[in-house]
Amino acid sequence: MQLVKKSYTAETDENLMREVIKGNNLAFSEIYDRWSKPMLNYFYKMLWQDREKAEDFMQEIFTKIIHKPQLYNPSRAFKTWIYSVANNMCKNEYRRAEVRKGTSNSLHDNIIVHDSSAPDKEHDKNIFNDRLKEELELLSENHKKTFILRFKHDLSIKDIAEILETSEGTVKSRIFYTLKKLGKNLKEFSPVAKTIMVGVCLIELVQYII
Amino acid sequence: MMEDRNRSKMDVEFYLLNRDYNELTIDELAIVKEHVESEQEFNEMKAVAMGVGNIFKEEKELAPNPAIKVALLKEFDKQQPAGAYWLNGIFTSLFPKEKKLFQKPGMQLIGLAASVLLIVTIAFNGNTDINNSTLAQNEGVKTAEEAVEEHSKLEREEVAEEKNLLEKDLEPTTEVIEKEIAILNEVEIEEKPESVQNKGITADFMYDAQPIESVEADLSIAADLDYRRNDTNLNASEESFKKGVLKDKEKVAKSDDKLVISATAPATMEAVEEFSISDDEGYFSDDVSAGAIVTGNNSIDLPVNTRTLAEDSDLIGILYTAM
Repeated sequence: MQLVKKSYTAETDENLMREVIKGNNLAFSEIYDRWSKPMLNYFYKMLWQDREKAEDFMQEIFTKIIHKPQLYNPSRAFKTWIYSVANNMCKNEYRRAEVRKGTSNSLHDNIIVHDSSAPDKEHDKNIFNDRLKEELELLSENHKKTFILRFKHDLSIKDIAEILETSEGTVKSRIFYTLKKLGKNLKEFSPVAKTIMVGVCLIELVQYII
Repeated sequence: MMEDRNRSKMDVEFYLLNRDYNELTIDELAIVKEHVESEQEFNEMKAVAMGVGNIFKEEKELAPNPAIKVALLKEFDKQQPAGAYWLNGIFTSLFPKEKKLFQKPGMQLIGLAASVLLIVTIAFNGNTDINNSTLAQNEGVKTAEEAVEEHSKLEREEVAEEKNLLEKDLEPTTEVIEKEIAILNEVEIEEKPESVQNKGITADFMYDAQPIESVEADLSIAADLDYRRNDTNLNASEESFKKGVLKDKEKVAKSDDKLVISATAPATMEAVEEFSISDDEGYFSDDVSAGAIVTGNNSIDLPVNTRTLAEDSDLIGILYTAM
């Protein structure tokens, strides 16, 4: 007689989903443990860093898995499937937000104001981080999604293309375009720019002394 | 590195994250220059790519609310038909991962059980201490009494055992006695005629200080009185008697003209007179400790421990004077 049900920690996501379809709650619990955190953070990043909204969306995606597990095709990678579902949910939310606000921009209201007077490195780093977050929020939906999936979730170009239902070339060009744009907007933080700035300050100081 | 796993060397991203502009080889520079116009642009893009990576790494990941999992599992159970209950299901419900250590029901139960155990142990130990102190006094008294009782009991038992053993030993076995009597009778029958027939030969019947008549008498008495205390002695005497007879026979056969009288007890005149002495010479038998020496001229030198009245006349005289 089997008293203890087998552990699912070593099973692949795809096998777990097969078990979920059969009605195995332990498999579902394992799937939840693996994917609840990445989903929550993805929604948090994509939906204007709103934690409550992110948690709602995370719960919703798992509710979909409960009610319609057969929507998942086990021949497909679960990771790309769940991100594509999440991406579609974000798209719908953007549309709803457009309707509500009457704007096509999915900008978050929270604009971080930075103080550039502090000289220390840590402060510079913080300023750079804050500016980068701001710039990311200013990106278009597709560029932002691509960028977050690439740098935050470490997904491959192929996976991102599958999730976003686009070609790998498009993903590559989006990433490149985003890097180029952010680089231009944040060029004062690049090492070369910093050197130039220091040089200018020194010249001004010498002139002032003379 | 994650960058290396997900990024090929054909991507600019790879060089932005892993190389400085000065470090690029001619081939790598050719790939980079397809997308990047200048070194400055390369450095700007590099700063962003590195910075983004660091930001995302440093960012604290949000953890989902545990209540969501509970709600989802309930939803799942509602959706699915009720299955079997598993022991590890109990374990997960007792020790849910999402709850803090002290919030886990299992830990709370363990804590409760431990505290109850502690209380019970303390209470139990307290009672036993009190009991032990009283018991310690009583134990000493009791043991002394018990020791005396036990000692006397043991003694009684030993005595009873000994008694039983003796009784067992003393139980008459008529068969054995009859056999013994039969053997003795045979010996008597064999020996007496021999001694009568061979009047010229003397035999030593003084084995074990008991003549045949006395042995017979003893046996008859023992049979009558169920007296078996000397059973072993009797057997021994019987054996020695047999041996003595056999040896005497041999000796008689060997030396017809030698008379040996051996005895552990003094020989009586009657017994001596029964034997005719045909030789002057006499000697001590090998298997006797003391015996009478039969000398020539029909005179008998009694053993040392036999004294005549003539020899004791001095003593008698002294006694008379004393009286």
